[in-house]
Amino acid sequence: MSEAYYVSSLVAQMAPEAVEAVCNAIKEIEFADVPLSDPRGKAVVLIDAPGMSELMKITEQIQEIEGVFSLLPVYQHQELDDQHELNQQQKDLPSSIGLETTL
Amino acid sequence: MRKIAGLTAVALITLSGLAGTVFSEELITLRGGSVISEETNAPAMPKVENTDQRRVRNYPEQPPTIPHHIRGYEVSKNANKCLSCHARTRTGESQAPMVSVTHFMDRENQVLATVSPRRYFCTQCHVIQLDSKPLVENTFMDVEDIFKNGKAKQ
Amino acid sequence: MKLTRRDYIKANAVAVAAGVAGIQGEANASNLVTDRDETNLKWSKAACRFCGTGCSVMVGTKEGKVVATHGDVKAEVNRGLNCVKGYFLSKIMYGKDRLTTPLLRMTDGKYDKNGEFTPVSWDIALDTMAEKFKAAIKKNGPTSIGMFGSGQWTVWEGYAASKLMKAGFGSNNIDPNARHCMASAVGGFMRTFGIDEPMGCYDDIEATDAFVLWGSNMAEMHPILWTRLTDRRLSAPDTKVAVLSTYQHRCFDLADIPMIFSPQTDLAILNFIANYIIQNDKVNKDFVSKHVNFRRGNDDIGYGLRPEHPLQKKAKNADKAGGSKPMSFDEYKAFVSDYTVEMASELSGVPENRLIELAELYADPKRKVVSFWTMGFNQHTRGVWANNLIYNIHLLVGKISTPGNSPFSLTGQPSACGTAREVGTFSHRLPADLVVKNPKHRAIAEKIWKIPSGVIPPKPGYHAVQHNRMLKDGKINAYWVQCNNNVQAAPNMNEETLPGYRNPEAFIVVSDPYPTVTAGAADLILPTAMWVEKEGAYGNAERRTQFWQQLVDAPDGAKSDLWQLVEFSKRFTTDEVWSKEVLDANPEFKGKTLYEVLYKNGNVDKFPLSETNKDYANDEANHFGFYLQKGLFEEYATFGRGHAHDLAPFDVYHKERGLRWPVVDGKETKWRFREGSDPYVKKGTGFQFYGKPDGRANIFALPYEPAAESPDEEYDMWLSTGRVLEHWHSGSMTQRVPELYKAFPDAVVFMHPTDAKKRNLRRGQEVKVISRRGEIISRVETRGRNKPPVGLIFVPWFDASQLINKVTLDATDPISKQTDYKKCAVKVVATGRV
Repeated sequence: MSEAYYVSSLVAQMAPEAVEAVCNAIKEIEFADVPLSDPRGKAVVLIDAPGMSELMKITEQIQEIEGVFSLLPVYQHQELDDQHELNQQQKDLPSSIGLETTL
Repeated sequence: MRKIAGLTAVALITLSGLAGTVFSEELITLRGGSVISEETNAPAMPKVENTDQRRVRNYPEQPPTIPHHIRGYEVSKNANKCLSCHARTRTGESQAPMVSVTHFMDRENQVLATVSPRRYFCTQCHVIQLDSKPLVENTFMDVEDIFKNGKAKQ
Repeated sequence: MKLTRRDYIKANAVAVAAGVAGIQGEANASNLVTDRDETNLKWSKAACRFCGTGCSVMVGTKEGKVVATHGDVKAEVNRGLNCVKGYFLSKIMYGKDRLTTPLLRMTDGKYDKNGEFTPVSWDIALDTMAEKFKAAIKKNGPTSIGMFGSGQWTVWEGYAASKLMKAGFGSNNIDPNARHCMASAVGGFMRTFGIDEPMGCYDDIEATDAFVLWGSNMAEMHPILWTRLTDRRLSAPDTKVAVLSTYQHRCFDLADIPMIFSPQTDLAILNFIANYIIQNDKVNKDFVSKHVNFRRGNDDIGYGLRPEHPLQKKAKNADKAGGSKPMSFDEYKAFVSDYTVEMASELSGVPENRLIELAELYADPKRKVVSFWTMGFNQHTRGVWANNLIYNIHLLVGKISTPGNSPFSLTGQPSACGTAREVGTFSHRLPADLVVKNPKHRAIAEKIWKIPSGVIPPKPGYHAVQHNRMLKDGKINAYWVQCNNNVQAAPNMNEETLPGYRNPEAFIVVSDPYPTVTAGAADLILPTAMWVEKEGAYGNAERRTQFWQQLVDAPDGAKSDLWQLVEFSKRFTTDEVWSKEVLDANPEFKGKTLYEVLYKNGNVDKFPLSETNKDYANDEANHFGFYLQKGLFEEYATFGRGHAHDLAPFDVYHKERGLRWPVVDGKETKWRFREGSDPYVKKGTGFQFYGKPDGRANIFALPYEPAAESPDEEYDMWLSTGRVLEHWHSGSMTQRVPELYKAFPDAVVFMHPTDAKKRNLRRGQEVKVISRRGEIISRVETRGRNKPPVGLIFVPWFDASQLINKVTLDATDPISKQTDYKKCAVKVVATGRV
């Protein structure tokens, strides 16, 4: 059994003059980091959170930072403990990405 | 199910090497010898070849087939599971082959720092292999064999 | 310091995001040089043999064999990329069971419908065939022969075939498999614009802000266009991707607005969007007032079934399905006002917020939008309507014919556009959008073809589905199938196709490189050269015409479709096929062979062998003694030059990576109907839909109507059929490539786990899929690449051992005559075996 964690990278877009302030604000958030930024108004955000709910919460928090135009999730990796993985496999339902299966 | 007359024979005799000999044969399609109008049992669902052994490519440009299962691998706008081993930065630990440098090129052939988004969906070119036996042999010749044959003839 | 696995994941996450964001991605400008030893291989360009995308591939040959293929870096379509099928093109010609001698069903040395396939010489094969065709024409006239062709024919093969049938035999009973694939798109174009094929081009992909996929699984069916779309979506993050389908497939991986709708209800969603645009005052009034007419189409048009079918008898307008009357904008507005978001959501099952998000993509004047569709629209008993309705939306907001604003019909066959549509190998068409019904059009064709007036019959011939019905009914007695596998592909195999092919009154000829299911149902099989074993030309979905040279020789004994057609024409004289009236009025044609009339006519034999490229073989030109392909192409091109279908001179295409017609003054056309981009648009008009006499496109009022067959208590599931990435053209080539075969060897029944559970089925269990017409035996797949909703199954049709078209219904669009392969009712039961 290993510890579960959720790694996600996102691209944030902001006004060029807001890059520094936004990046600092993101770094203040627990589990979030800004490994790369571009003075033209872009930054790569890295989140390494213990759970999905934290991940979602952090994403929302970042979106609310003043000066952030958009936040695009690019990459997501979930390292799950073994029991969790088994449960996931058994579920295996097509609605896993939130689609309506209304027929 | 009705049986359609004339589609029932099963014999297989190949024609090669027997040109000029007149003989009768029934056509062997991808159905093997089975009659078009009848149903055959479905073959058992094959398993994914999951050996992690690299396979020899037919020619250098051929995308390598995937030698392991990819069940549950998410490749979406949010995540690309394949890159968690095959990305340049990951290959040290994973010992998986790095995605080839062609994958870093955009439409204008400029080399980008990371994999080009046009190469993002891996399974458009890279496919798993199931342990089914091909229905028909393929006589494609590896260019090296053609070279060897040529030399042998000389 | 050793990095942990977690560190690797994080570093990777950052690198991927950096790439998407373009941070530190500002390109080292070095071209990659591969270490391939080119000096030993000969590399030539060719068009891919598979889908309508029209990728260009580089083909490496050595000692008469294809040894490698890869994406052509110089080609604008694919810029060095191929999909997995394209990368394995090298192997498609080398299945061990290539046919190399004609095979005729015989008993005791004589043709016998119930005899066994016996090798015969080409002379015996073609003589027997000629005898059967002559006997049929003599007994029952030229409508008793037929030919089923293909969007995989090269341009000149389709042209030679069409000419042989219409100008030679005087029969319009020629139709291509493109009827199964593109006919509704054609109907949509002709009805709305009066001229066929998309106005835009693939450049729209890089120019747009939104993609809407309507019944098009591009990730599997047009993978290279999907790479361009993915590139755009991921590198321009404000771009939106909306995906509509009746089941979840790989395109949903990129979808911002995913939508699963109940089959057939796309019609209601389309009308809702039009209503939303009007209600929210987003109509581009200037555009609409200058460039659009409104019409009310006939409704209750039936389902293209046999006339005695109860659904046909019940339909009010079954015999005038294509009819329409003018109406005003206000009447149109009132018509679509029924299609509220509540109504569309209720009917389709798509949540209201998603529908509104979708409608906004079209309504928002600041957003450019491309709509893509393929078989979800076209294989639809209201396929022409669906095409009309999507044009309605683009026309209402004026988002058309400008870069990034594009209603875009994609094609399945590699030359559905170039051959089937542009050459006009349909039962009602002639080259360059001319039709047999129009006496002026026939006169133009007869003049170019240098044949007497009255040879081309005015009545359209039988369409594809009708071919099989007429074979069964004994109305077609001699039939030739080239370049496709229609027994496997046509709907309702048990009730129509097989009884038709095996009808003792019919003689069936099948030309194919391989022993397909169709070949197995034939009476005579002709072994056929394929792809780069002959010089060829294809036209893709963006009007791009592409050529290739003959790169290798066909196996001994195999001959190209073109060789077969022209050689066959030598066996007929005009006296045997033309009416006495025509011959009496034109005595100079008496006693001439069709070869002389059609191909030695001063046009087709105009170019000497010396004009062929000496670096390449050309079996057909050498056999007939003149540059046959060039002559056919140049004669064909005279139909369209000066009439908005201009093709460049023949030799230009061997140098270019294709050109998009109309090619005027050496320049291709990227966007039609817009001033400044299309040379046929008059100055000062802005836009001109010149396919219609008044230059205006039509917006049609057309309702939602239900499917021909829906699930009920006994047959309780929808069946949708379709393709998979790895296989194309019924698997006749791809199933013979070991890597493609092993990637997806057998068809499966894609099913929702809940549906499986309800029937006590496990993944991998053997089941029967049963409809009122037939059944197949397959296995359940609950976690594959396609994820249907509860109540629907998806079964691919590439598998010769699981012929799903035994199950499908031959309901067609009454206007386009295209089959709806996406909707019929079935039940799934365990076989009882493991």
